[in-house]
Order: sequence, then structure tokens, then C-alpha cells
Amino acid sequence: MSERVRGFPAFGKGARHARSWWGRAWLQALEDTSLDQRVVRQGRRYANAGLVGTITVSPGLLSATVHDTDDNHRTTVRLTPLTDDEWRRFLGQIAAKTGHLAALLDREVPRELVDAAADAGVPLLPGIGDLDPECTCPGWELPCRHAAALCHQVAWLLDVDPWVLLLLRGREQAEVVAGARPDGGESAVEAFAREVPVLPPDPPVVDPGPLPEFEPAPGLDVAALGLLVGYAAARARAVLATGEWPALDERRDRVRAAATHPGLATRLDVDAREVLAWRQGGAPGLAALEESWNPGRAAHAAWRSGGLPDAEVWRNRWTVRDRQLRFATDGRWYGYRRENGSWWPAGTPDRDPAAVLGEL
Amino acid sequence: MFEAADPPRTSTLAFYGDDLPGDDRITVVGPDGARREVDAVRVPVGDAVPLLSKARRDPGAHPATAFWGASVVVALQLVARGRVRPAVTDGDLDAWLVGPLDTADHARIRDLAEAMPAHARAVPLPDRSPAALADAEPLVRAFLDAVADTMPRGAAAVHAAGAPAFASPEPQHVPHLRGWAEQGVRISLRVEGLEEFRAVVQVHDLADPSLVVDAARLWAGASRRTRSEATVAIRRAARAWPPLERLLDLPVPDEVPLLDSDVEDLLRDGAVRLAAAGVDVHWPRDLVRDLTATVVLDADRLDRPSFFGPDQVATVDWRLALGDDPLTPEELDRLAEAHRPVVRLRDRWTLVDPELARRARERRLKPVSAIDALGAALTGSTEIDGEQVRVTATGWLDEVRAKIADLSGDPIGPPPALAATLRDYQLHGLRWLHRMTSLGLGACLADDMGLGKTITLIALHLHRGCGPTLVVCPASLLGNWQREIERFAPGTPVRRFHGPGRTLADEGFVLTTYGTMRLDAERLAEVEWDLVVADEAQHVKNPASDTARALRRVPARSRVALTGTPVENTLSELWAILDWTTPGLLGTLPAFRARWAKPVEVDRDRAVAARFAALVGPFLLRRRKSDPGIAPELPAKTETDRPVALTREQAALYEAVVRELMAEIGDSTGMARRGRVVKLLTALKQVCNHPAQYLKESAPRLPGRSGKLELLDELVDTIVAEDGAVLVFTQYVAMARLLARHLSDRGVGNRLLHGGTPVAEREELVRRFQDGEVPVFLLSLKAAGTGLNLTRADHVVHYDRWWNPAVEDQATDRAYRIGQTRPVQVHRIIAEGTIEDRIAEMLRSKRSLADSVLARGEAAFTELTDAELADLVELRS
Repeated sequence: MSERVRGFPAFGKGARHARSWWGRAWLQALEDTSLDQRVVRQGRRYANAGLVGTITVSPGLLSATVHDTDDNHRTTVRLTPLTDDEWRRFLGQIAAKTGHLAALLDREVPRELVDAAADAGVPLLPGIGDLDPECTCPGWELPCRHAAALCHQVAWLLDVDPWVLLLLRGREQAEVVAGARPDGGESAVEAFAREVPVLPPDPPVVDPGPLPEFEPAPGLDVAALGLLVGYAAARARAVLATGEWPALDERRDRVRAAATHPGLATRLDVDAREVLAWRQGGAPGLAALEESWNPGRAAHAAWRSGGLPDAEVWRNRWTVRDRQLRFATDGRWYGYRRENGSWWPAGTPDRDPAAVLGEL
Repeated sequence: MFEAADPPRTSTLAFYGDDLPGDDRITVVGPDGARREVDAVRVPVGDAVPLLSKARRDPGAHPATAFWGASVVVALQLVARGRVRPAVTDGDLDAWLVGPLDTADHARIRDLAEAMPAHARAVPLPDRSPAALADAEPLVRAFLDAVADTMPRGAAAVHAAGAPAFASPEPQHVPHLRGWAEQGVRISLRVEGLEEFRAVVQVHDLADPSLVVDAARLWAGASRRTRSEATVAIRRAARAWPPLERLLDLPVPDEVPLLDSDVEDLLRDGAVRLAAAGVDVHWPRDLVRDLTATVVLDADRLDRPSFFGPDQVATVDWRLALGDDPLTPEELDRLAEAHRPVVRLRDRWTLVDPELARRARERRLKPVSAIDALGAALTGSTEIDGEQVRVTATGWLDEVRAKIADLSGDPIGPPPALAATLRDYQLHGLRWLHRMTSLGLGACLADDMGLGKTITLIALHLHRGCGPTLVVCPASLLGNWQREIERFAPGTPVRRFHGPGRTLADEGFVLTTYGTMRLDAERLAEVEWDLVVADEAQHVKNPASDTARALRRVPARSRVALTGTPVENTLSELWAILDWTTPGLLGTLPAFRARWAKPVEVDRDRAVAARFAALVGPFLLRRRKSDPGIAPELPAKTETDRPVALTREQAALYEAVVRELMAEIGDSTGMARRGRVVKLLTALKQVCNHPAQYLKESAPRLPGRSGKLELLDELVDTIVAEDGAVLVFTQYVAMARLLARHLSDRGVGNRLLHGGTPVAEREELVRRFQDGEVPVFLLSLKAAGTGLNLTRADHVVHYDRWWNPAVEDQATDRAYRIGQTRPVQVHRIIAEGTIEDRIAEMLRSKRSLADSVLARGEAAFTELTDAELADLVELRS
């Protein structure tokens, strides 16, 4: 939930009038509240003179700094927000007719909506005494000219943006739009009683289309987003085919991404050997590069029965001079070759060590 | 149980069951509608995906689990197809949602939602009594989005993307990307029903116009923002077409019933106004919408050739057709009686524009004049109540239309009395003129100069054979007409109605000038002309001029305008000419301006221009020398004598010179006599050229004093209009200077080359002419030395005569030589009745004198006796 506070730059110097019916109704509330119309007029002169600073609107509270000859004064006007229940009823009124929300979105307040809300006991516009002013000025009029000036400025603000009134009453535009929708739903009893058809057949497996291309956006590598879509597609196909979720930790996923998209290798900060290992055999291939384990007799028997040359054996690694075969947990042999003092994945993994060694 | 959240990937599935312990307590509703709390396990949707996809294969799974399993498969299939798109949620968070979805996807989701058991959504909606469950379809869609949102976010995704947005599982606040992710929506209306209509609101995604969703569905799912945009769009549509205001009274603006009057209004202009507001209207596919109305024109044949006179009218009827098939009278009656915008015709519901129904009731329209009807038949359309309507001509009117369109009907041959062979295109011109004039329609022949408009017209006269033909032309062309008539139609009476004591004839050709015609229109109107010809008809292009009005007062069975300038480029000129040849065809001038000239010339409306071309095309024949069909028929060089009359001033001067100098010659002998003869000849030639040249005036007024100059102006105007170029030769540098000044005064660019021009400058002058900077190049013979290449010229004018044709040929060859691609026309201007005329005649007939002239030039004349000389120089009329 965002914070329900908005700031508005005040209108600058220049004579203005509230033009909308709701703006005028707002001013009417001010005039009705005021005991001294001279102060209201004074306030309008202040407003016209551009003496009001930035206006802050939040539920139940308007505030601004008003400049006067002697000093700057902090002025607030309070208006009671609607209760949650009142909001529920008011949103119901808005939702009853699309035209209400449409008008509000077009920055107009339909009289019919205000009347309907009033009938439902929801006061949208302030009435006499509803605007409660407070000011740091020494004057004792209520409202003082500073508060009156603020009210005038807000009336003009309402002309162009009636959502200010709704915010003052407690809700932001987004909340109102979200809330002002028909309830929908279905009676639970009926829903349970209704016979539902059998589930439709699964959709056909379709070849992936071309990856989407996105328009450039600030701060986004849209080409990489396209690759993410491709990744998601590959992943979804895997789940559809095997029911397995090929979950990888972050480092392995980096290796996978770099092996799939060489262009991203530098960004992904991976070792060239890791990429080769992934290309050689995916996750088991990478494991063969990084892990060693003690295979069972079967592996040794396989080596021996293949009539292969004698090898120096350590855990799952059989070394013949600058060649090495690693027996991985998936039961396949992974070929390696020594270059510049380290072992590099090479050749195609196979269940037959002779085939792998032969290729090396 | 699926519980949606924002962003979608944080949604959870809650599993509960009798044998399932759980850490969470959730409230569910049972079949009895009662709420109860149960133990449950909440699993993030991402973790639930493998579980559910396995459950899909498990025949013993609970129906609710099986359902979400099936939903997972649908979601995965979408993801596997790459059908995910980045979005910004209502909470301004990054999310991958399924989409774009095609029709099959939407159908699949609908079917899936239909099959959702209540147990799969047993969490009650808050604050509802009795208990209510969430609608199935929005819930399914939210689930699909939730699955889609987890999939691209692999462990290394943030590394790969270089930033967490749309890559990290953690929610990212990205309000700034909303504009990028969303393109907004637009709405359209789908009209449904036949017995009773309704308009269903459809919402289109602007980013992918193929994505359409009914508003009803959108309101059930979709983001707040999309709904807001659709709401505003509907309000604007309601402003464009008020019947939609009823949508705004609904909680969900899904559809409104349409009254028949609404549908009629929609057909009339509602759809147009909605289209202007960006809202398309889609009609039911099985509704026949190709009911069309065309106008049928018919006219009875009259025997008189002037059946396009004002009394003759054509009937105008509406013809309504389904496709190309006209409605029967019974069907028309049914249509006329229809009170609804749909009518059952030929076993199908047919949409009927109220305007069409009205036309079915009022089938007969006000008759129009026959010429208007012909215009409509030619353009194929007419304007009725401000609307363009297709037109079909029938009966005799259609015959006329077809005859005009196709000349191959009864091909006429060249008239036997014509003493010349017509070229193919001239014969075509004759046939065309015959066709148009025999229909009483008139025509404008606008061939390029030199293609033989005069001979074609003479052939037309001979072919028509009957009554007298009046030719109105500029004074400078009278002589040419007379000579060509005498040459090509020997024996045909030809009379000039010009000058003092002029008389008329009622046979053969009568030639007159525009000036005389203006003065004597009443007398000319008394003759029953078979044909009136306006030569160089651009002279009457100002319809308000006295000349043009006088011309209109001369009645004729047929009228032909000849012009060498491309009148079709200036529509008001074209109107002036065609309104004379074919009165009424183009309407009044103000009507013509409004209907044709403004749309064509100002608005550049192509459709109107095409209709206009169809309308005037048959009445205007213009061939260019360069046309592929014409050029091969033209000889490379055509030489024409251009006789012109002397002005009164010239004639008086000429006679004075003859009197004075002949007296001097009679008084002298020997060398003195020879000198005076030469002086006489020179003086006479100068008088023929221009009085100002003879009188050596220092700052003379030039226009209106020389017949030759008037003709030169005519020729130059035409050549310039044709975008041609001309060499003008004169023996006299003084005359050349006068011509240069005169042309410049008239705004015609020219260069002058004479004997005194420095050699270096000559080349520059030639280059400027060859480059097309000026259309006229003036030369004196002495300057025409070798090495001059002036092949840009396609016309050569000999302003005065060289007695020796070989010299003329040499001059002509400046233009006609290797490199010349266009035919060259040579115009020799000859002052009628003067010594020039006499010598030209001699040269033609090759008399003995001619030989000596050829041999010795002007000196030959010095040998003549006084009587012979007097006979030679005497001015004859």
C-alpha cells in the first residue's frame, strides 16, 4: 500500500475562480463555515496573490505554508475521512454505473454519484462546519485568512483534479478504481451444487515460436529479457516432458546461461572450463569437472573389460598420460585432456569408456 | 486452493485435507455454504508447479488438485511457446504475465474455468453473506500469470539480465516501466443478433491489435489500469454516439440492446462518428450487407441531331441490387414497406440502410437533362443529395455512351473530294470529329501544332457535305485557312468575311476573325451554319469576354474547337471551350468550379480527377507530336507557307512606296535604275516585316501593326505552350532587334545572334538555347555560318523570304540535322498579295524568272521592264 500523501504546487499569482460545480460547492462549505465573509474574501486575495506554498493532501488533512507580510504560517484544514464502511458503500455506488468511474477518470464529478452517495449516507463534499481550519498565525478568526486562502487554492485544484477530494476523504485513485468494481463471485452453495464438466484435454505441445523482441526500456537489457523468456520456455518444456523441475543453484545457473548464451559469458563471471563442462554434459558434466567420488566396482570392471590401457586411477578419474576419463554419477564416462597444466573437458560422454578414450 | 497476490509470483496454493497436517489455518466454505477453519499447507506457486504437474498424471488426485494440475499444464504450454510478456502490476511491481493470447488460448482458458470445481476455489470472498466464491475465470487467469511469473526467474537470471527487474524473484518497484510495458487499449463494438440487436463492447490491446477481449471478460479479470482505460474509452465513444450512454449506467459496460432506430442511426452516420472517435463497428457475419443502390439513366431517342438540347430529358431511377443482382419489384416492395433495419431477402437477413429503404419507396427521381445524363453516364457516378452514387446508363443513352467510348463502330473513310492523303491519326481524328458532331455533341481537337488540325477539319467539312461551315480564327491565320482549303478541297467555295464591304455566303467555307465575329455576331447568327469552328480556341478562354459571348450567339448544328495549347491543364479554360462546343456538359461555371475545378486543382482529389477525366475525355482529343503512335507518321521536316494579310497601315505604306519608287524607277536608267529597283524591293520587304522597321522608328510601338508579327506571336505562344523551341530567321538585324524587344516585352525568353556577335559569345548563346534556357533563338542569315548546332529547335520560322530556297534550307538545317530527334516544322511567313507572295508563287511554279532569281538573287529583278516590275510589286487583294 502506497502512502496516501500527495503534494501539489499551488497556483501562482493571478485571479481565478472555481469553475466546477464541486469546486464551488467546496467554497460554499468554506463560506458557510466562516463567520466573517471579509476573511473569506481576504483569503481569496491571498490565494490570487500566489501566497500559498505547496499544498499537501492526505486523508483528512490539507496543509500548506501561507506567506504573509509578517511571517510564514503553517496552515491546515481538516476534513473527516470516510470510514471503511462508508467507503464500501461509496465504492458500491461508483461501481453501480460504469459512467461514474468513467467521469471521475475524466476528472469530472457526476452530481448523480454525489447524490446517490448522500442517499447512502456517505458525505463526499464537505458541508457547513466540515472544514476544520488551524493555523500558526496569531489571528483568532475561524477560518483565518490563511486557511481561507488554502481552501480557495484547493477549490481550484479540485476543478482540475477531483481525485484530491477522494484522497482527502481517505483513498487514492488507484484504490478507488480497484475497489469500484462489481463484486462478482458466485454463491458458494450454487457453486458446489453445479455439476462441472470434465477437465478439458491438455493443450498440444507446440514448438516454441521466435523469442519476443521488446522495445528498449530505461535501465533494462531487453535483449537479455528475451533470453529469459527463452529460458522459461525451455524450462517449461522440460517440466511438461518430465514433470521435473530442473532447479539449479545460482552458480550452476550462471554456468548454464553462459553455455547457452556465449554473449553473456563475461557478465555472468564464469570459468571457461565450467562452460565447456556444461556444454559437454549439462549438470552431470559440470559435476564431473568439480567433484570426485568413489565409484563402485562396476566402473573398474568396465575399464578392465574394455581392454583399455593401464591407467593411473584416483577415485573416479582414470588417467592415461594427458588423457583422463571421469566416471560420473549418471553412469557415463566424461573425457578430459590436459592443456597448460589443467584438465579440460573434451569429447562426448558415453557409457562405454573405450568409445570416449578413442575419441580423445 | 489458489490465493492470488501481487506480484503474481508471490501467490500461493493452500493444500488442505483430512490427512494433511498444516502450519496454517485457512477459512473455507463447504457445499452447505458454511465457513469453517481448516489446517492447511501454503506453498509458493513456484514450488507447487512440479507437484501439480505430477498430480495431473495421478488418476487418484483430488478433483481440485487435478484441476490446478491441468491449469499448470496450460500455463506451462503458454510459457513453452514464449507467450509471456513483461508487465507492471497495479502495485507498480515487475511481473511476467501470460500473453499475447490467441483465440484458441482464450477458448482453452474459458473451457478450463468452466471445469473448475468449487473445491478449487473454496475460500469465501470477504464480507459476503451468504458465502460467495470467486469467479472461476479470473482466478484461472491469475493462476496462469502466477506460474508464468516464476518461470523466467532462474537463479542466474539477475546476472544474465544485468538488473533485478523481471529477473529476480524479489518484487521490484518499477512504476517508471509502465509506459514501456503497456500500450493502452481501444474499444470496438460488435453488433449481434438479428431479431433484436445488441452492441457488445470489445477491448483491444493497442500493443497487439489482434488481441480482443469482451468487456465482460475484461471486467472479470485484467488490471485496474486496463479497466480504467477501457472505461474512459467507452465514455468517449458514448459522446460520439449517444445510444452507448446506456453502457455507462451499467456496473459492467459489457453490452447494450440496440433499438431498431439505433441501428438505423448507426447505419446512417453513427458508425462514421464512432470511427472518427477510434471505435470500429463489426456487423454479424451472417448479415448480408451488400445491398447497393445505383442510379439508372434512360432517355428516349429523338430524331433530330440536337437531342442533347435543353428540352430532351432523361429519366432517373434507383436500382437496388444484392451484389450484382437487381431486386425484383416484389422485393423492392418488401424493402419499401420495411420498418426495420433488417429485411428478409432471398432467405437471408439483409441490413438495410434507411436511406436505401427510402430509395426503394421513391424509385423515380427528378428527370435530368439529357446532357447531364450523358455526363453521369460517362463518369459512372452522379451526386444525389450530396452523395456520390454509382450510375448505370441503359437504352439509347448507353448506346451513345458506348459509341463515344468506341470509334470502331462504322469507320468512315477519307472523303473522296479531299485532295490529300490523310495520315492514320488524322483519319482517326476525322472519325472522332464525325462521331461527336453527328451526335450533336461538339468536340475540341487539341493536337499539337503541325499535326494537321486544319486538314482534318477540311476533311470533316467535306464528309458532312452539307451546309456552310464558319471558321473563326485570328486574323493572322485567315490566309493559311484559305490556302489550305483551296489546296486540299479544290472547288469548295471559300470566302473571307473580313474587312470593309464583307459579305456572307451560305455554302462552303466562310472565314472570319474573332474581331469581326464580335462586331457582326448578329449577321453571322442569321446563317444556318452546319458547323462552326473556333480555331485557336484559347482566344475565347475568358467566357465573360465580348468575343466569347458573341461566339455563343452564333448557332450551329455542331461546334468544333481547335487549339494547339494544352487546355486540359487549366480547367477554367477547358470549361470555356467545352461549354461552347457541348453546352451543359460541364454545368455552369460556379457549379463546375465547386464540383470539379476545386477538388481537382486545389484538393488534388484523385477520385474526382479520375471521374473528371472520364467525363471530358471523350470530348477532347489531344495528340502530341512525341506520342509513340504519332511520331513515326510525321515526316522529319514539314514546310508550310504561312500567308498573312498586311495591316491597314502596312497596306497604305506598301502602296505609297510602290507609287513613289516606281515613279523614280520610271525616271531613271542604267545603274541608277538598278539601284532603285533594289531599293524598292528592300523597302517593300521591310514594310511587309513591320512598318517600324521601314520607318526606322527609334522607340516604336510594335503590336497590332504587322500581320507577320501577329502570326509570329500565335506561333510562339503555341510552341512555348508545347514546351518546344523555335529558330526565327530574318535577313535584317534591325528586324531581329525589334523582334527580340517585342518577345521580351511579352515575357518570351529569347537570344539574338547576328553577324556582329563575337565568336566567343556565339557559343555561349547557342549553349543557352540548347540547354533550354530560352525557347526562341533569333538569327540573321549572315550569322548562320557553319558549326552552328541548334538541334533543340523543333520549329523554324522564316520571318521574311530569302529568294533562294537553298539558302533557306541551309538555315533550316541548323535545326534539322544529326542529333535532332523530333520532327521539325518550317513556317515561312508570307505577306499576302505582296511581292513576297508573288515570288513564292513563282518559285512554286518554277517559271523562268524563278531560275534567274535562283541564279542571281535580287539582281535578276533589275532586268525586268517597268511593266513587269509593276506587275510584280503591285499590291493585290
